[in-house]
Amino acid sequence: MGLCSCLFPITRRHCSSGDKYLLESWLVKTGDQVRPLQVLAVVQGPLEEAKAWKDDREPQSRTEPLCIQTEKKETMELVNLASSNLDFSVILKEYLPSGKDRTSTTAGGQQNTNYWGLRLSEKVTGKVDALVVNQNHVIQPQQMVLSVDVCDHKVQFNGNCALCGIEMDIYSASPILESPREFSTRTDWTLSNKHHLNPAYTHPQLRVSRNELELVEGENTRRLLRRKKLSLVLDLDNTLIHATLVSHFPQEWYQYKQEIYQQATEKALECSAPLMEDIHELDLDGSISLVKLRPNVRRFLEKIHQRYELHIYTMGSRSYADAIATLLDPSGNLFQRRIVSRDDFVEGMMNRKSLRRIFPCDDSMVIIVDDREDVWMDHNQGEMVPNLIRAKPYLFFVQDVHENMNNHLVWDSTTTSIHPSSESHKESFANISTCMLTCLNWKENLESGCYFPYLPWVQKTVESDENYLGRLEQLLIQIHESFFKEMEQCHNVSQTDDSNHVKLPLRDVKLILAEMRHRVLRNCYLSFTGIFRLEESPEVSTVWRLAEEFGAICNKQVTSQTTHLIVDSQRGLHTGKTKYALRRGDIFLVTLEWLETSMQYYIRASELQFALFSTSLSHSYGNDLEEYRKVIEKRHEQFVQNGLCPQKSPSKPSVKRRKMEYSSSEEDNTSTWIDSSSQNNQTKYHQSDDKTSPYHKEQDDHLELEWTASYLASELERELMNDPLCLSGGGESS
Amino acid sequence: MGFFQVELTKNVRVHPRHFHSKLKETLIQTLMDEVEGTVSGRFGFVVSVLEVLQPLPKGILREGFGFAVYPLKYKALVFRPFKGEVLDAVVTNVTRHGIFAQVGPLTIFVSRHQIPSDMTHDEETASYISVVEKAERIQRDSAIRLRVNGIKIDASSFTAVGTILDDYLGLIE
Repeated sequence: MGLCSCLFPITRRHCSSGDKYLLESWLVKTGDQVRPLQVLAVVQGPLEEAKAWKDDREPQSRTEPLCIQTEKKETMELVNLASSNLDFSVILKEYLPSGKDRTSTTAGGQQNTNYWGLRLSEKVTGKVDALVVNQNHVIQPQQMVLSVDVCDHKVQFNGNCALCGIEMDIYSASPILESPREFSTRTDWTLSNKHHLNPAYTHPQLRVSRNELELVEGENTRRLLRRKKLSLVLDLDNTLIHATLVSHFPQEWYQYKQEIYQQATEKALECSAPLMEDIHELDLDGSISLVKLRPNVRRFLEKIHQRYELHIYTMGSRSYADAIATLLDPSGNLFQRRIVSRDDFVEGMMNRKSLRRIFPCDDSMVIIVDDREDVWMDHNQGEMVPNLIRAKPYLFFVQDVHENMNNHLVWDSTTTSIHPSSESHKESFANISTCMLTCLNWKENLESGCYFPYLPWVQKTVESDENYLGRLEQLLIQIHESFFKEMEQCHNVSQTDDSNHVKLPLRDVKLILAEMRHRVLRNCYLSFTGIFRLEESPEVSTVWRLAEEFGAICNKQVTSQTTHLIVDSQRGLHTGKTKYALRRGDIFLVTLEWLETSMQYYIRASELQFALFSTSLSHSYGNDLEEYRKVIEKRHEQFVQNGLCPQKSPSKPSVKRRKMEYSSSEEDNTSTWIDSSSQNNQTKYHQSDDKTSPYHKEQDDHLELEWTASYLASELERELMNDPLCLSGGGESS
Repeated sequence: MGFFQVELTKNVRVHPRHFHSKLKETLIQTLMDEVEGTVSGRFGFVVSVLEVLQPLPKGILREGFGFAVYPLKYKALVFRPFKGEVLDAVVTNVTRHGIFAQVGPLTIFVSRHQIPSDMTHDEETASYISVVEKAERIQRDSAIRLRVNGIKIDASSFTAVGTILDDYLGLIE
């Protein structure tokens, strides 16, 4: 029996070898930096490598190159050691007291007297890759003899290595990723190289090492690029559908349905179609839920499917997700099996979604559409996931019908107590069902399809939602086109690629999305009033951050540049900023809804629609807000060109003079005051220094404040009388 | 297939309300309910209770509870695959990382490294297609023959890893 030894630095962990294989489990920590140490097993000169490792780690660990000897000498050529159950004994030179020699009987004495055996508990299994020496070769100390392709257990299934089949528990080799906390910082992220991750759409018990995962995902990325597709992760609830439990509104639904069925002439069904279509009943584990698909959702998916690979990521249970997916996509072609539910992951973080679960390596080709951004938030960094398009939430059913019922009762008959008895409840149900029927009958007479019968359990705002998915579709197509246009340009530059190897993207959808966002509110100078609480600093608030993300420039004060003042429709009516902005006349006073809508639609919403004082604005410009906006835009172009702010604030005397004008004109014509003020603005621009914003001055001037307050109050009252809709429209957003 | 007939013991607890003439039937029924379909340690998956060995032992009353405990001996049919065994399995899921197959209660994972390199994964159809023979594809519900590489038997789960990398393994026509 001859001794076969090889130089082989070995750790307590599993290790891999062959040639030039990066050992994942060895990381060197120097200061804050964690880097994997490249340790080449079984190559010439491993001593240096091992030494480098030794210097960085604790010295008592076995850092010396070890020798592996095998007792089964004769089957050395390329035997699968894993299957032959061969034990390696590991010899450690350092530990060699000559007396305690256990394997001396097997070690051929004359061949290598320097090495003595000491059996350690560690086992190394793997394939013998190559045998360098012949059988009768005399081996010198530290000479390479054979290379062993040791399994690195990169794929593990429920504690078994899927490659060599051994149980991993003995080694406890790969700490399974337990909490996403481990990814908090960048260094940790590198550290996580040694962790095994759970790839999506497989099995909760499957763990795959990061390298392996990157390999497989890279393959997938190339496939997508070849097919010119991006990935799209969709949320279900309030994005594609709205679901509610039937138990939330007990008999009503059935009553309604029954009556529909009873009276179901063709016509009746037809007319209830726009509202009632795509409402489905789902029976999941005994609880029945009602699901309303968002209008046009099927068309949307069908269209988007051509450019995107669709995924579903929901916080619902598995059965729920599957059921909804079948509703949305009966053929099963769109989503296939790409559905993630809360049951699919062992480490259940119920209130959070992580893109890494589906795309652990590369998220540069992924768009998320979700109505909530907080679930995607990276809580460690407090940043929004850059791939996210925040969708407008889709609400169809009134969440709490009972409350709604009560409200209606109170509204209808003031004599009813606030908490109606069950009797009155039933009555109200009966009333409503008859009301619905009359609505339906009435509907038959109506030709146009835009009318919605009043249903107490349906949100009033559903009509406004019709178009959202269409806009979303537009947006997604735009992103897709911009991504692949860029790709093609890259491709044309480097024509050397063969068709098989598609270049990995240089372009990132995150950047495209950021650009698109930035364009939405470009040249908008925002200021807020009544929106932030006093104690919080506005710069860190979500609204502020989002507005800046969407390209707006926010300022705490109303300055000469300000174009939009976001006013809270209740608290912001009487603030100094509002007054000043009103007097200036060229600032849009809009509700928060304007900002929200702009962000949801990725297009600047009409200021007219969300204007807080639309009448006062239209007075001065005769309803021609477009022209007005052009004026502002032109002005901003000038700002950008000049690089400076040319606009000078009006000086104090001019303000006082205007005050006289207002008071005189107040009685006969309300519209003139803005006209005159804006004229004044234009004429007085260059008279005073630009540091004194009128807003600051105004705060000091008590007399003026008093005057504006009283004026504004009367003005407001008048507006409320004239145009109650305008203010109530703003009130909904609060 | 690794089916075995083994003799096992199980302590069955019986509620005092069953202390009547049909106690024997209750005992056997409870045993079956508790044992069948579970994984028992190194013996594997208990498919069914074949017979309860007679005579039935005497029950021991638990102090303070009133329950009687019967240490029943029974013969059971168990399913116990071994490392190296070749099994026929039904594919349940095909992913980029490999194939999940099922042999009765046992879930077997075949990694992509353990699939012949002339079979490539096709994402669109979720299948592994042979490069040589296009018609030969492993997809959901295909039958494959595989060799078990390693087994993990827990109290709750019963899984294995396998390979189809050898001769005569793979898709069954």
